[in-house]
This record gives sequence, C-alpha cells and structure tokens, in this order.
Amino acid sequence: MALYEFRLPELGEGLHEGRISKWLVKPGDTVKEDDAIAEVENDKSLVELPSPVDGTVKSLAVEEGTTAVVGDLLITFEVEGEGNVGAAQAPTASESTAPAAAPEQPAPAQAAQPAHVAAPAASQPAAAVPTSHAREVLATPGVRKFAREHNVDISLVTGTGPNGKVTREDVEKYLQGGATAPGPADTATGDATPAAAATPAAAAATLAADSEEERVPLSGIRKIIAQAMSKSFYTAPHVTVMDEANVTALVQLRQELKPLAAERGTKITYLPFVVKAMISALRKYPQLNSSLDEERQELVIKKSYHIGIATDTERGLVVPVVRNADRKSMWAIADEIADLATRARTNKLGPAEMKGSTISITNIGSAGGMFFTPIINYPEVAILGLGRITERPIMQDGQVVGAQMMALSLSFDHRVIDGALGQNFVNEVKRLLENPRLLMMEV
Amino acid sequence: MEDQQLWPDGVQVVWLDDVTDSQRNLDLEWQLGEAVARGERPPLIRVWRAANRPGIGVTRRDVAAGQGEQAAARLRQAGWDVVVRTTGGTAVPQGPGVVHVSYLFPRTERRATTDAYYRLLTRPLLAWLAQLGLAGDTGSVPGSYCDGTYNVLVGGRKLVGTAQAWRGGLAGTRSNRPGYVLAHACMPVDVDVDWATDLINRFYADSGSEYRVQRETFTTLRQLAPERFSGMTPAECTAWVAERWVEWYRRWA
Repeated sequence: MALYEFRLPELGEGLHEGRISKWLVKPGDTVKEDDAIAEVENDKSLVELPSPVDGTVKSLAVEEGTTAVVGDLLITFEVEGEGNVGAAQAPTASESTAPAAAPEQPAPAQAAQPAHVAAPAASQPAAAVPTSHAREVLATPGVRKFAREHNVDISLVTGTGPNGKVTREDVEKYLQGGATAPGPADTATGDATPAAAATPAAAAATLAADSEEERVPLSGIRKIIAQAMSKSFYTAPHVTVMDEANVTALVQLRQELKPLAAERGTKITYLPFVVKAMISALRKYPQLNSSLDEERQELVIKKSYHIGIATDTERGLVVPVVRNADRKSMWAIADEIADLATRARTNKLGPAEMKGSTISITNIGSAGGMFFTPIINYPEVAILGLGRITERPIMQDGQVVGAQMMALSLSFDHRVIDGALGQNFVNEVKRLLENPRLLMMEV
Repeated sequence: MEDQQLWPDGVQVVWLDDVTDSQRNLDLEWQLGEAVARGERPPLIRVWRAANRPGIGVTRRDVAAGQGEQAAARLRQAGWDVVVRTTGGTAVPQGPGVVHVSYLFPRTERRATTDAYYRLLTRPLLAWLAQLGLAGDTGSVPGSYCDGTYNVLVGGRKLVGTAQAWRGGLAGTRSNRPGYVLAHACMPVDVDVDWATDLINRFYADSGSEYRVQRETFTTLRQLAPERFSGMTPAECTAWVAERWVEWYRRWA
C-alpha cells in the first residue's frame, strides 16, 4: 500500500482559499476515483471535490469549518500501487510549489499562488513535511477582495471585528506594517510583513536574474489555439495558392459608398465584398464549402454558407461566424462583422457565435502583410487570406497604369482539393472583386 | 474561446418552475442537475420564477451559523418565506418579482474554474440587458446582498446576483455519483428594495451575525426600465422576463 496526498486545488482565478464545509468521507472509507469527498465553499461557490484516486481514506488533515489555502493538504489515501508521498518527499524546488491536484481539477498556477505557499516550498529542504496553513478567517467578500487586490494573504491579518473578523481597516493597517496574525502561517513564511506579500514578484525577478530564459505558461486561449492549429496542420495537408486582384474599381466603389454608409451608421470595409465574392465562387466550386468525413471517407458538402471571420483580440485569435451570409445584404454583413468583431474584442461573444463556420476568411492586411500561408480552420477545407491593398504600377493594355492590388492567399486541404480547383476558386473570387458591379448580382 | 470549451453541446433551454411551492422550486435544481449528470437529460439552461411567497433565500451556511435556524424560524412565523439553497453566498430576496436562470451542465474532465462558469453565466445576461438599452458590467458592490465579483451591475448598482455549486464527481455512468455544475443567477425584476433590505438584515441580526446589506447598493429591473413594466404586477413582470430569457437563451445556446 502506498500513500496519496490530496491538496486543495485552485477553484477560481485569484481564489486562494476555501472553507471545508463538509467532509463526505471519513477515515476507513473506501472511495473510487471521482467520488465526491468534500464540500469546499468560498465566497460565492460550493464545490464538491472529487477523489483523484481509488483507495481508502487514511486521514483527514483539516476539520470541517476550516478555511484551507490552495496547496494545503486535505486528505491522505492509502492506494494500491504507486502513491505520491514518496515523490513529494524529494521534489525539485519547482515541483514542490505545485499541489498534487486531482487530474480533473485545475492545477494551481504557480504565479497565482499566495506568497506564503510558494516561498517556503522554494526555500525549504526537499524533504520538508508540508505545513497546513489552514486557519479560520472571518471576513466579508468585499474585505477578502480588497486584500486580494493588495496582495495581502488575509490569514496573516489580525482581525479586530466581532469573533476576530478581519475588517478593511485591519487589512489597511496590515499594509501599513501593522499587526499580523500569529500562528502556523508565520512560521511558514518566515516573514509576515507586507514586503513578504510581494514575494511572487520578487521570485519572478530572481528567476529572470538567475537564468537566461523565462518560462511563461500559456494562457488557456493560447493552448486552445495551439491545439487547433496543430490538429489542422498535421491532419490536413495544406497547399496555399497566392494571387493578386486589381481592386481599383472596388476601392472606388467603397469610397462612393462611404457617405451612404455613414448615414446608415455602418462601417463599410472590404470584408463584405469578399464574403459575397467568396459565396459566389463557392456556388461554382462547392467542394470548398465542405468537410471530410474521414471515417466514412465522404466529402460533406455544406448547403449553408456560414463564413468564419478570423478576428485578432488581445486574448488571441477567435473566429466568429456570419451565419447564412448568402441570405444577407452587404449592409447586414458589414454590420454583423462590425458587431462580432467588437464583441470578440470585449470577450462578449456567445459560444454559438463561434461555431459552425463552413469556410473562413483571415485578414493579415490590417497588420500590413501581403502573402502568407493561413492555417485552415479545421474541419473546414479552405481558408482565404487577405493581404493589404497596395497602389502600384501595373501593365494594362500595353500601358503602365496605377492600380490598387489586393493580395490573396488561399490555403486548402489537398486531400480533397487539387491545385487547379483551388486556383479556379481564387480566379472566380478575383473576377468578382475586380468587377464589383458583378457583385451586385449577389446581393 | 477558453471558457466556451466548457459550453456543452446540445444545451436545452426550458422554463420550468413551481411558483406555488418554493422548496420544490429549489429542489428542481438538484433533481434536474442529477438527471443531467446521469445523462438522462441534455445539459440544461433552466429559466424559472421564484415562488410567489415573498421572503428570502439563504444558504446552508447561513442557517448553520450562530442562531441561523432560529432566525429562519422567526421569519417564517412572521409570514415570510425562507428557503435554503445549495449554492454558496448569502441571503437574497425571493418572491413573485424575482426571476432566475440556472445552468445545469455535466461535470467534465475539462479543467475549469468557477470564474469560467461565471463568465459563461454573465455574458448572455449582459448582452440581454444591452438589448434593453442597459449598459451592464460585472463586479463587486460591498454592502450589496450576496456580494461577489460576478454580480451584474447597472449604473454601479447590483442587479443580478450569481452563485455556483459543483456537485458529485464526473458526469456519466462511470462515476459512482455523477456530477453536475450549477451556475445560477437571480434577478429582482420588481421587488421593494427597502423591504428586501430590512428582511435580509433582520435575518442576520436575529442570527447574531454582524453582516448587513445596504439598500442603496442594489436595484431592480423595474427601477431601471420603468416604462417597460408600466401597469404590470410583479408576477407579470417576471413572466415577461422569463419569456424573453427563454427566447434569448435558445438563440444563445
């Protein structure tokens, strides 16, 4: 039999503690992985923690009603095979900062840990027995928030309210170097002054000074983008064809439309024209509006035209969808794209608004680029990349004339689309963008 | 996109409540949640009205602390309804002018935080309020009832309170006790703010708690959009909102 220790995982961003409101198991109980073992309550949530392992409860480390800090030992199991206690006795400095969270629980990010958890773990000998910092803390949500915002571990603050309740004034006093709470937390930190509360920053600085590289954990959205891009790139053999469209007439048309658009309160960009041109080309070459059913080896041709618009946001790339774009006017598409982009950038899109596109457009031109090799928004089979429009001389009817040229890059899945088909599709898009009057037939 | 990964496929939106029985109304939360967890029902967004007896909804922690049980009993003797809910937080107003929305989603292996579910919960509410011409935001309002970071605020005052409970283990048949995530929002559409403040404070005073709420920290939808509810009773106001929420969430889901 081996021992497995389970520690309080991080349940919310910036939430460093939780009250063990109820144990659902007792020593001697047999549990299976995912059985609920305890109820943990914080200011606004009640979460039942599932067991990370099959085993027998050996001991409970904290009593009901105790407030535990992320990383605190909660419970020890006896398990068949390998436990985690042996490993915990000889961790590396970096490993020892990470609680042994259940696989399905969010692993606490090191940077988000309170100073008094991270600091001793990095400085104590590897074989140190983890100390529980659990302590009942009475405070209102507002006071807890105030403490968090000022990087104060509220368990270090002496409460002067009824029953030792921590008040905002107590936190302020603490920040000014006032009283601190005695107890295990002090011994754990070794220094319970406000300066110690800034330890994460100090630790980061030390890290930078001690090494010539910095490890930055990927944000959640970055991880998802990474997974999606890898899946697409390693699943669909990408081919990209590049071309240019003479959009001089389109640029002129847009200029003419601007006052009308302003009257309507619509921001008119080139995207609605490209959407309409693409739909027309898709009608002619429907294989590009499809997905591949690999299991059945069938091409699933979509009869709807839901256009994904890749949108750069501070959080990363998102792809909101203009649904049934074939049934919408260019004005409606322009308004919808503007609305989707705004809400994408303010993180207010609903999940349904980012699902179900049948083909996508991505625009590098707004950042100044021209040709590139966009990654298909899998399981779609093609993506059209737009580059910037540049005015430059071209030969036309034997004459050198100035023209507005738009760069186009179409990536497609070569499993289902051959090069000639891809280029023919681009030719059709070009034909319409170069002759915007033809686009009127699509409205 | 990170949060959206937690949004399950095939979400069903239902309007399901029992306004004659406040406890049954609340019990439906875990009954439906367990059905979702066992895979007997699709993931649910439940729109529901509070029961038509005015009162407050408190947490198990509220009644367990100090003289909480006695305080609840005294309010009931005085004719007010006191229901005990399973999510965290503190007391909230209840009655015919209050409407709720609850997400009942299966617990999955995806790594999640309560924040992610709060964002999934508040985003559509903010968008819906925007449709009414009300610019909302999320944040804390110290002194408001059941305060938290993910209150929905309009004009700096709390309009919607939120809470969560994660129950059981993973959803599905593999788990001994299939689990679900309950993310819940509660909006007073037409409630007397003075009355609600007094009742909540009375409960905590009787419990021996120092906790108090301040009336100026929260508002109601009717106060924010009075013309929309002109001539309507509180029950009519909540029915109006519930109808529109169902439509809204069906589009959103």
